[in-house]
Amino acid sequence: MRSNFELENHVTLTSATTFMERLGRWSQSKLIWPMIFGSGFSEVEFRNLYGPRYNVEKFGLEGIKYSPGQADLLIVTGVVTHKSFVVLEKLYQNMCSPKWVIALGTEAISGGLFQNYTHKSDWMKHIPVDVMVPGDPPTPEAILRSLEMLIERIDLGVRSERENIDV
Amino acid sequence: MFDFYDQLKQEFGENLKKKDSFLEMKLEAVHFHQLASQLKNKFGFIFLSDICGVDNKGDSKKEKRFTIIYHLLNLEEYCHLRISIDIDEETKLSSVGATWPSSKRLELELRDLLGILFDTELGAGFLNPSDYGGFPLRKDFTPNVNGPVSILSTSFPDDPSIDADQRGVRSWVNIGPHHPVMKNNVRMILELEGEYIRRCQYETGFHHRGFEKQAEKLPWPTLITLIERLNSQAPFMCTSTWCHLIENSLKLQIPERAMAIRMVFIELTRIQDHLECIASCAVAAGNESVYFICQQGRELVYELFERMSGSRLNPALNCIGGVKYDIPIGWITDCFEALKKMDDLLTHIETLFTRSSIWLDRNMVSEINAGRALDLGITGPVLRSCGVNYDLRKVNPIYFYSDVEFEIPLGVRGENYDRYLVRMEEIRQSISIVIQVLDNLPIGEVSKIVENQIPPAGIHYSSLESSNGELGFTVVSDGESDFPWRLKVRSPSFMNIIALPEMIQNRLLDDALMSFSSLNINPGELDR
Repeated sequence: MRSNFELENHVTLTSATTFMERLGRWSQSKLIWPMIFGSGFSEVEFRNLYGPRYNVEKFGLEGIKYSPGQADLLIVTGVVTHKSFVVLEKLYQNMCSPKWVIALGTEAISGGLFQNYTHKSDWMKHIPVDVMVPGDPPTPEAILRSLEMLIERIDLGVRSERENIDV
Repeated sequence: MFDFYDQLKQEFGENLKKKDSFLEMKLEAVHFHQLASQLKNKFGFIFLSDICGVDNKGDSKKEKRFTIIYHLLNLEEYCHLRISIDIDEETKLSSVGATWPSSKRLELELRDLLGILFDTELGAGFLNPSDYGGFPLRKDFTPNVNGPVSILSTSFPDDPSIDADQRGVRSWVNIGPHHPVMKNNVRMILELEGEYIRRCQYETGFHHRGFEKQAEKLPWPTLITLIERLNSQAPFMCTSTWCHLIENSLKLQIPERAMAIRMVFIELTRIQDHLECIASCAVAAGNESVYFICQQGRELVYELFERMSGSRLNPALNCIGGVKYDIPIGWITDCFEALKKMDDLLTHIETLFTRSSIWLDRNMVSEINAGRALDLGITGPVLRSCGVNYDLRKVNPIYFYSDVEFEIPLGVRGENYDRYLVRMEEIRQSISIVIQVLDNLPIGEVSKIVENQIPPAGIHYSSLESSNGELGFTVVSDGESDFPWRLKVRSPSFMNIIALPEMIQNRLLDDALMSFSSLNINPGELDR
């Protein structure tokens, strides 16, 4: 007989209230469709993850999507300028919910060296960011770690920043 | 060269001055406009490479508000002529677009960023000054951004050459800026008649980061960090050009070993960037396998960079006076091994692409005429694919480029296929250059300590054959202050994109994306 059976060892603790929510979380954590926006070092490095050396598919990121309707992870790279923000906002609004955002690289987070009239410094107020990856460019290992973190969060049922605002 | 200089001297007299390898001339605005066609037709200055506008506000030595510097090039004699014109704020400048069509895009930049007035209508530029509250490159500019910034609408003005029936069958298509082939940053608006493209507009400026304005705020020694971020595919080219400019202006001789190391890394960067271009052409054609082969080749280069400096994409290696680190032990053997693997990969790409009838059929499109390419100010592999033998490594060799043996591959028809072939051959030539330099690597120190990094007062220009074409920096320094007065980048992507509408006109919609990829536009370099 199982004498020292403890429920906690066999059940994952989650904040999901219903089974369907839990199922949704689980399935999303297994297959994420990223969409990459912007350009710069970080963008080049993120594309290199899909090359022959870094097997990013093992995280369930099968391919980069360029249609916002098909993506649930937005990766913002490079300096967000006033002009590109017009495009970025439109893309973000057209993504399916629940949606997640990664700010990749120093240039995306704070503008890096480019602190001038073109930089939209408050873009994060309009587009809530879940994970920030510093570095210009971040190493591939750092990017992989950020994806791991994000998947962990999705799986544990942590709400995305967007959902927090909506609540 | 000497006869040619005499000839010019006779014509222009005392006005013409010789400074290093450049000729300098000061003219009145009206006078220059009259001389333009003479300079082009009589003296062979067929190539307008750059226009740089400088705001003189706050400079007590200058009487007038703006100085406009035209960079003209005589390709046969390799004579670089700089013409500077002083104008007032109210003076209307005449466009020289009739003589040098490449000036149109540069003049748009002058109008949008510096607020120079022109007496003719130029059209839409890449930045709308009213969105930013003024002209950014002026010294008294204070940014004022309210609300969303305007972007072009997906529409064309009526074409007067066709009637209403024909107009009815035409439709408009918008491609980009969020598109894998358009590098996430260029927008193409096409007018289609069935599958054929009749007219094309492109919009840039989504990645305009205010590079030149930012450079005016950074002190001289830290500028190199900014300049690395100009081009994300070939950062080493940018820093090499910059270091070459500062060292030239300070009359500094860098150690021979540093020159050799720079050459090796310039060529490795060129290999990497050309592979990126071929990879993006392959993706545009739907061929994923060649994309992966190219990625494999790029990873080989990245590994070499990482072993050298710890950073994969960006070998932050250059400093004024040489390079920061010496080559580590065992790196040269690794490099030879990587180049051997690279050669195998190139053979693999050639078997898949060069003789493939599908690749050939899809790429025998979008030709550029050699004369037209020169008119439009195109440089680099795109110009050489039209058959023009112009490579700065040959005509103005720096470092040991005159000592190594290499060939300049030339295309014939200027089509996508020629551009592909030229790039493939240039990779092979670069491999041969790297091997030759590493075989004869000079010994000694790799850098000199430079205390004073401020160039003497005046205008300095330096250029290098980067992977996309001629990359040049114009620097205006006052010789005292810690900040540059003005930094202007002559970026090849900015000029090469001018060819796009003419290339894809009357071509199939499918070909548009491949033609765009074959130009190898880099957004950072394009918008700056």
